[in-house]
Amino acid sequence: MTVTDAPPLEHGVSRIKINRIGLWLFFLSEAMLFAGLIAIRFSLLGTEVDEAVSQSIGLVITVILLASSYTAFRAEHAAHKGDQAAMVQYLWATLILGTIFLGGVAFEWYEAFMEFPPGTAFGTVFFTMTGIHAFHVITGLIFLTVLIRNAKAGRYADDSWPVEAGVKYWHFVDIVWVFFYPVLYLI
Amino acid sequence: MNIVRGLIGGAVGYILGAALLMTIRVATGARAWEVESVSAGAWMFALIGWLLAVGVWRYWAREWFGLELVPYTTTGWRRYLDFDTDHKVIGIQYLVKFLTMFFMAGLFAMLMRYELMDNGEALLDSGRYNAIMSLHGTMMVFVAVAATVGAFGNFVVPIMIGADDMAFPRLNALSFWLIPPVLIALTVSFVSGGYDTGWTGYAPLSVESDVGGLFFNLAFFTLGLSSIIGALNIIVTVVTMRAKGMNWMRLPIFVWSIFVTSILSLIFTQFIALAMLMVVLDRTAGMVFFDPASGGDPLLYQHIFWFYSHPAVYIMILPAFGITLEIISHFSRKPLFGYKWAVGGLLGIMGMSMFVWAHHMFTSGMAEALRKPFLASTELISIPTGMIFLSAVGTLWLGKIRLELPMLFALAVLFNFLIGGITGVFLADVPVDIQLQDTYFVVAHLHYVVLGGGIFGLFAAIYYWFPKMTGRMMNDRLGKIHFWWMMVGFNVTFLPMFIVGLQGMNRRVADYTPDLVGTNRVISMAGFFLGTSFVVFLYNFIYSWIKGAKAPANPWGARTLEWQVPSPPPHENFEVPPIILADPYGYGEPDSDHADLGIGTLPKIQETVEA
Amino acid sequence: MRESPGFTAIVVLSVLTVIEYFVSAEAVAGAFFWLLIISIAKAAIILVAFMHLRNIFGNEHS
Ligand SMILES: [Cu+2]
Repeated sequence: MTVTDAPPLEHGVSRIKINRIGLWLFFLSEAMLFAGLIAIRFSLLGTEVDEAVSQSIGLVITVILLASSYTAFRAEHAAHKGDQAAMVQYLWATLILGTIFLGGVAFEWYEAFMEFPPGTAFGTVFFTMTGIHAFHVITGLIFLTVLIRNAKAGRYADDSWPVEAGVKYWHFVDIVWVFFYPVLYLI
Repeated sequence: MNIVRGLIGGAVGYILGAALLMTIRVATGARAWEVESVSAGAWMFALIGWLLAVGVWRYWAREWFGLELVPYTTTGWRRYLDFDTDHKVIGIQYLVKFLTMFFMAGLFAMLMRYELMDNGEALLDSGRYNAIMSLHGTMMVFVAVAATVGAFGNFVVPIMIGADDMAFPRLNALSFWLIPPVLIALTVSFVSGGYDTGWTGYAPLSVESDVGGLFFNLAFFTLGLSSIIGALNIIVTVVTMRAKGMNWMRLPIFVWSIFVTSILSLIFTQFIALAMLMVVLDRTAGMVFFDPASGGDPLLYQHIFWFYSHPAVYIMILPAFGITLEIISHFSRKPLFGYKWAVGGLLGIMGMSMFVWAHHMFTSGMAEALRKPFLASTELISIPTGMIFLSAVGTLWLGKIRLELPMLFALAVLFNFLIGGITGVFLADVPVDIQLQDTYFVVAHLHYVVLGGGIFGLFAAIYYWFPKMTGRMMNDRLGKIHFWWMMVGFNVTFLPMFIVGLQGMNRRVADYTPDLVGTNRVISMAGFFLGTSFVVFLYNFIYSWIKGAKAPANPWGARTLEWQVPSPPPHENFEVPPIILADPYGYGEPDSDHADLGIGTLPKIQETVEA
Repeated sequence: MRESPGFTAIVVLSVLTVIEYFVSAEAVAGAFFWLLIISIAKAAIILVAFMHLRNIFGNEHS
């Protein structure tokens, strides 16, 4: 969203603040979806975790995703300071870390198909939760790719809102995983 | 033209998505084509293709890729077929779209009543009957959920708060253009044999139903997406775009009702998307959410479904409450009685609506310990509802009542909802509910709430705002004929349903015992009577739009902002941003102005129209 | 750590994650409760330190 969306009234709330409120409300709505998934998990499985989930993969990809949140934060920081070069570098770092995370999930899925296929209760919950989360990661990666492409054309020198939105979305996906990790791997 | 482009885009999206999924399926060793698995995934690609082709690409997405946007040059009536971002155009698009859906669903109801004229099989076998019953319910629920918010939330709310448009105009257009695919999915569903689960789509039946059930799931999912986006837009608009001086306690009550409805939509619609998604995954990906043999739980569906669908009842009814209060104040020439209590009632309903869902499940076999708390919470929610009623009745009290068309419909909402609400208290009572569950008593209750409340409210809004939307007056005489015809037809149709329900007639069955034939004849005849009343409406609606008398800016002498601008309003709504001076309901208060429009302020409009 | 905003946050987040892992692996008494607390703490850190949650309430700075 850019400035061509409805111009604010003279006395009104600034465009960037309107955008921010919209984005946060979107997170609130999405949070309900993920809360519902967690509730379904406890409703069907109690606190049981299938022993076959790979604890090492879980820990590694969790730390990687957290690290990507840090690089995303630095990208936004650079964008606000107007440091385009650093911004692109950090966006690249986030993109790469996110892709590694996705690779970890894919590897975990490959193992999971043998151990607990979707036809089991744990498999159903595991594939649905990681699947919906991975879908959000993929959209986030697409968002980051577009940002990097446009940043090279110098589009965010004046208006850093798209970068802020992409980074915030990435953080949100990260927060979801903060809850999914213990719920799927630990408890 | 634009729609053809969209259809092509959707088809291309579907084919690309199907090709991608089939490649994956072959790579994993599965059979390439399997209609459900492929269609479910390809539907998402088809949606994207449809949206891009219908205008998102030309007017929005090109800039993400550093391309020049296509300038928007459409004018005249073609704007209603295009990806237009003006909230007034979108409001009318919603209205026409959902009226179409409403009349289609009404025709299905006529078919059902024809079948039920006599016991035994007349026109439809039980499978066909169930398909038509399901489609009628689904489409009517869609209309009730989205028509008022979509049409009037879009058209009126921005003007009422003194804004020039919604906060995110392009997102607004996008949320409308997600609606045609809903109708397409339902059509595909019907053509491919329909589904027999009713609009509730309970698992495990819905998991086992034919392919038509899948497209029902996709339709509901798509409508959910549209609702969430639309609700988000309205919330941000009300929070950030209010004119100077329009503080929260000066908001017209209709804006409050749409605002509260949107919060409910934003939060709870995710759960219907989730429920639909789970059924689709059970159907297509071999998952076992609802299969007890493999560790699933069929009741899980009902919990998730009603966790959305009870708040959805308020999504259907709160806008009608808002319209009713709004109209009653303007047509009683009195300030809204207990404005703060009415707002409190709306907020109270919003807060409590998430704690009552299991009253739909008293006979489902859920844990018995859940019954009492849900009985109590359900009956408690009648308190905030009562506050809204009190506000309506208190406003009427000693008012200078003008029985114009919108007022008639508003009073009908009060009357019908009273019956619907009180029978709801019966049904909340566990012992009574165990007797009445799955009978026509529930059908009658539901129709009194949703049709008698929600849809009568929709028609009140249409008659009230038609002059503002089209710039022409509706024919008053035809309107009054329509009102009495509809009101009588409605009550004669649905009151006897309480009786056949008490006598044990089951809903969602094409047949019944011979002793109920007499009453069912009456119901069917009255049903056809009710159905034909809409012919009058439709004639009036189309005729008045084309040839009706030109409407003045403020035909009702109302004080809210939308009536202080020309009919229909200019593109920017206001010449200069208005400044709000007092609350909108200051009828009978000398020298009180709602707003300064910056054009020599507004004359005391309520006095100029009728002293 | 000067000139390195967000670094403290990511260190704390990583440490908390490792603690989570061991709370579960060692089956500490009341693990469920501790995991819940730690998750909420981690989410709060991301919300406040990374996402500037306060920005939507207070007045803006870009
Ligand atoms: Cu309910």
